[in-house]
Amino acid sequence: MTEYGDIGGPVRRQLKIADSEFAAVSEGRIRIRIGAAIFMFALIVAVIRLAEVSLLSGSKGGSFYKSNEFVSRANLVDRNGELLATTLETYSLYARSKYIWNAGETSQQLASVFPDMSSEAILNRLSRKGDQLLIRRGLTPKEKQAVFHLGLPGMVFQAEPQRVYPRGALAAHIVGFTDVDMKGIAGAERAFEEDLSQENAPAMTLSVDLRVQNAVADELQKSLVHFKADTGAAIVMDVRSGEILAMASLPNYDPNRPDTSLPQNLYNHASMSTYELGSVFKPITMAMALEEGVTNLTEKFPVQNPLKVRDKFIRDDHPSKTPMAMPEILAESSNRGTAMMALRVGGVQQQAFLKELGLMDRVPIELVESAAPQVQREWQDITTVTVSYGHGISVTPLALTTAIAALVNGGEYVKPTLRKRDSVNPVEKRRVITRQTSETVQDLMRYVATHGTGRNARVKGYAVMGKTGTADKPSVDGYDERRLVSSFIAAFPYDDPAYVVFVTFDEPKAVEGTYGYATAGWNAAPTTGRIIERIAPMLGVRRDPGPATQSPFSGGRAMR
Amino acid sequence: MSARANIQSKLFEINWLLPVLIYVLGAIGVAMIYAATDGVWSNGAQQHLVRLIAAGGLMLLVALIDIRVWYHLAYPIYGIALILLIGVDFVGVTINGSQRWLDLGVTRIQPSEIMKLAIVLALARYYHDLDQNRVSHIISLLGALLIIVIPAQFILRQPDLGTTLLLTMTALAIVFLAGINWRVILSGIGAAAIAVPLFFMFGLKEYQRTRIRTLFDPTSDPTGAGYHITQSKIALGSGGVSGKGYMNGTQRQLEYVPENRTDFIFTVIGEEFGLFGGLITMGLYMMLLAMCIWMAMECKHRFSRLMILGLTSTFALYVFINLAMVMGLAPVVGVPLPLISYGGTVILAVMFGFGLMLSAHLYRQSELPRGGR
Repeated sequence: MTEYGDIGGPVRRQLKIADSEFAAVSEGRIRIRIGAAIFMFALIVAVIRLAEVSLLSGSKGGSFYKSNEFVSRANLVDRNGELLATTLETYSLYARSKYIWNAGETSQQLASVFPDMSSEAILNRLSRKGDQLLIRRGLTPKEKQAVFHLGLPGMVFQAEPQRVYPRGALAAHIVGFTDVDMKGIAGAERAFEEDLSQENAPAMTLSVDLRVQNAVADELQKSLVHFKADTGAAIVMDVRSGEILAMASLPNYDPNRPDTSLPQNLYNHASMSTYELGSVFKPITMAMALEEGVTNLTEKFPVQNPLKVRDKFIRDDHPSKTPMAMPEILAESSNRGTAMMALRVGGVQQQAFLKELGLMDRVPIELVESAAPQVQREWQDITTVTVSYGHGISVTPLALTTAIAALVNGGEYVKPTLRKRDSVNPVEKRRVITRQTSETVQDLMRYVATHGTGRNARVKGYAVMGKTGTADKPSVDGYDERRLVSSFIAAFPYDDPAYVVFVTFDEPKAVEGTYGYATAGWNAAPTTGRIIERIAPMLGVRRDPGPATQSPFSGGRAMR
Repeated sequence: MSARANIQSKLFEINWLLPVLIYVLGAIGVAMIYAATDGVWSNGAQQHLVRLIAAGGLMLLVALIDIRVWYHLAYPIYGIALILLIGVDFVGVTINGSQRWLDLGVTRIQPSEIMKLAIVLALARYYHDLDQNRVSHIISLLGALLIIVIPAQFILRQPDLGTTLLLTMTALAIVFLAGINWRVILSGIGAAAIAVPLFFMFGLKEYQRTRIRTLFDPTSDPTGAGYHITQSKIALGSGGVSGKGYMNGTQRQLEYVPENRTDFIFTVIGEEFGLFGGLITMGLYMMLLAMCIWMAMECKHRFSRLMILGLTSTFALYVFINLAMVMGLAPVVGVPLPLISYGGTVILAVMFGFGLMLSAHLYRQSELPRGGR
C-alpha cells in the first residue's frame, strides 16, 4: 500500500480509518490520564495518612528515652480476690554501641547478673549493628540495680511496665490483654479500660470464680480432645444475678504473649461466635406456647404424620409412631411437635417473644466481643417453624445461656455481667414469663434429663435439668449433615434453680463409646454432667443422698 | 545481521531505566529485610537478593522475546492458566483452609498467580483484535465478560476473595482503557449500584454477609486483625519525621509487629527512616508507575498498550492495598509490598510482568496482525 493510496474511494476510506484510529488513540490517552489521576489521588490519601500517623502519634513513641514514670493500671481479681491481672515494674536493657569499648568484658559481667544467659549469647547481641542494641527485656527492679552496680558504660534502661497474667490461659478470653501502651485490647482489659486506667484505681472484682473456671476449662479441654472437636465453648451463669462465673473458649491463648498465638485462638467463641444451635431452642418455644395459652401439657400432637411447610418436609430424628404431648415432644426432641406449637403462636408473637429474651439483639454485656445474632429479615411461616427448633437463627452461646436462665429462674430476664454484683453494679431484671410457666419449663427440662435425650448429663446426687441441641452446620449449598454443632444447656438444682451451664462443641466426631453418634447427647451432655459434678460442691449446692426429685411427668417410671 | 549481534543490539535498546528503578526498590527490600531480621543475613535478606537477581534474568529473557510471540501466546497462556485453576478445584491441595495450590510433585504452584498475568494478556489481545467501533457492542462486552468471569468464579470458589477482587479490578481497568463507551460505563456503574446491595441482601446467605461485614470493619474483630493494625500504626508513628535510624527501630527489635519482613515491611521503613523514608519509598513507586505509563504511551499497537497498562494496574493495586493495610485504612488481607516484601512467588510474577512490559516497549514499532476491522 502506498503512502497516500490510489486516487478515488480508497483514499477516503483510509482517511476515515486514520481518523478513527487517531480519535481512538487520543481518547485512549484521556483515559490513561484519568487512570493516572486515580493513582495520584490514592497516593495523596496514602501520603496524608502516613503524615498523620507519623506526626500526630509521633509524640507518643518518637523519643527513644521515654520518661521513667510508670503507667498505672489497676489489678483484675476474681470474685474471691484471686489475682487475674497485675502490672509489674520492668525494664528493658539496651547497650549504646559506641560507648561499649570492650564487648567481651561487658558480656561476661552481664552474664553474671543473668544466670540464664550465656556470655556468648550476650556477645552475639552486642556484635549486631546499630546504636541501640536490645540485650534483655523484662528486668526486675532488683536486676536493674544489679546491672547498675556493675558500673558498665553505655547501659541504658527503658522503663517498661508489663501486664502480667499469673493464671496464663485459664481465663484468657475473660481477662483479655493489653497492647504495648497498656491499653486494653480484648476481654475485661478492654471492656473496663476506663476504670482500669484511672490513676490509683482500686482492683476490679470480676464475677468469675476461678475454681469454677478451672473445672469448666479442664473438662471442656478433655472433651474437646476426646471428641476431636474443632472448637468448644462453655459458660456457667448465676441465674438470679446474671453473673458469669465461668466462660471458656477453646482453643485458647496465653494473654502474657498474645502475639505468639494463632489469631483464631484469640477469638472468644462463647460470646463472639454465632451458631444455629438447634434443639436447645425448644424449651423457648414450649414456654412461649404455654405463655400464649395455645396448648397445654396434655394435648397430643400428631407428630407421626408428615408435616410439610411450603415445599419442605419437617423431619424428626427419633420419629414417633403415636401422637405425643409436650413433655414427650421435648424429651424426644420432636421437630414436628415443636413446629406445630410455634405455628399456632405465629411469627409476629414469636419474634416479640425472642426479642424479650434478648435473642434478637447483641447480648448487653460489658465485653466488646459480643456478637449480634443473625436473624432472617423475611419472617415467613417456614422461618417460624425452623426457628422454633433453633435453625435459621444464629445466636451466641452467651445469648442462649442468658435466655434459658430467664426461663428457669422464675421468669425474669437478668442482664448478664462480668463484674461482681455490688451497689454500683446492681441486678437489672424484667419479667418475661409468669412464675408458673417458669416452673413448668423446669419440670419439662428435668424430664428431658431423666427420660429424654439428656440422660447422659445426669449426676448422682444432683437433680439436673437440661436440653440437647444438635445442628447441621450451614455450608455453601444447604446444610452439611456430617458437620455438627452439638450443645447442651443445663440448669441445677431442680428444687431451686440457681445456675445454668452451657457447653457447645463445633464439629465433634463420633468416637469409641458413642456408637457412631456425634450428637449432643453423646458429647455435650456428659461433659456438662461432669462439669456440674465438679462445680456444684464449690457453689455450695447440697448433695442429696436419696433418690433425686423427679418431674411430675415421669409418673410411675423408676429413675434415679 | 547474525542472531548474536541482533540480541546484542536489542539488549542495548532495552529501556534500562525501568530495571534500574526496580533494583533500587529491590535493594531497599534487601536492606529492610536485613534490618527486620536483626541483621542476620541468612534470615531472608540473602534469599531476597538471590531471588531478585534470578528473577532479573527471567525478566531479561522475557523482554528479549518478540512481543509478537507473546501476542500469539496470549490465549494459550490464558487457556493453560484456566486449566490449572480448574485442576485446583479437583485435585488441589488445601492449605490454611483454602484450596489454592496445585501439587506438581516437585513444587507447588498457585494458578491464581499465573492467572493474574494471563488475564491481562488475554484481554489485551481480545481488544487488540476487536474493531475499535465494536468495543461497546453488546456481543463484544459479553466476550470480555466471559474472559473475566470464568477464572474469577473459580478463584472465588477456592475461596480467595482478595485475589478475585484484585483480578476483577485489573480486568475492569483494561476494559475501561480499551475505550468502551461512557454510556456503557455509567450504566454499568448504575447497575452495580443497584445490583450489589440487592445481591448482598438477597443473593448471599446470612453467614456470608457477616463475613463480608467483618472484612470491612476490622474493629468487629478486636483481637485478631485489629491487633496487627494497632501494632503496625504504633511502629509507623514511632518513627516520627526522620526516623530512629537504620537498625535502631525499637518496636521492631521488640518484635511487636508481626510479619514484619513480609506484609508489614513498610512499618520497618517508617520506624527507622520516619516520614521521609516512607515518602521516598512511595515516590520511587510513583516513578516506577509513571515510567510504565510512559512506556505504554510510546507503543504503537493496542495490544502492547493495554497489556502494559493492565500489568501496571495490578502492580499499583498491590502497592496501594499494602500501604492502606499497613496504615490501617484497609482490612488485613495479606497483600505484600511488591519488590520489598520477602516472598518468592510474588517476585517471580512481578518480574515476569516487567519483562513483558520491556518486550512490548522494545518491539513497539513492529507490526502486529489485526483481526476483525
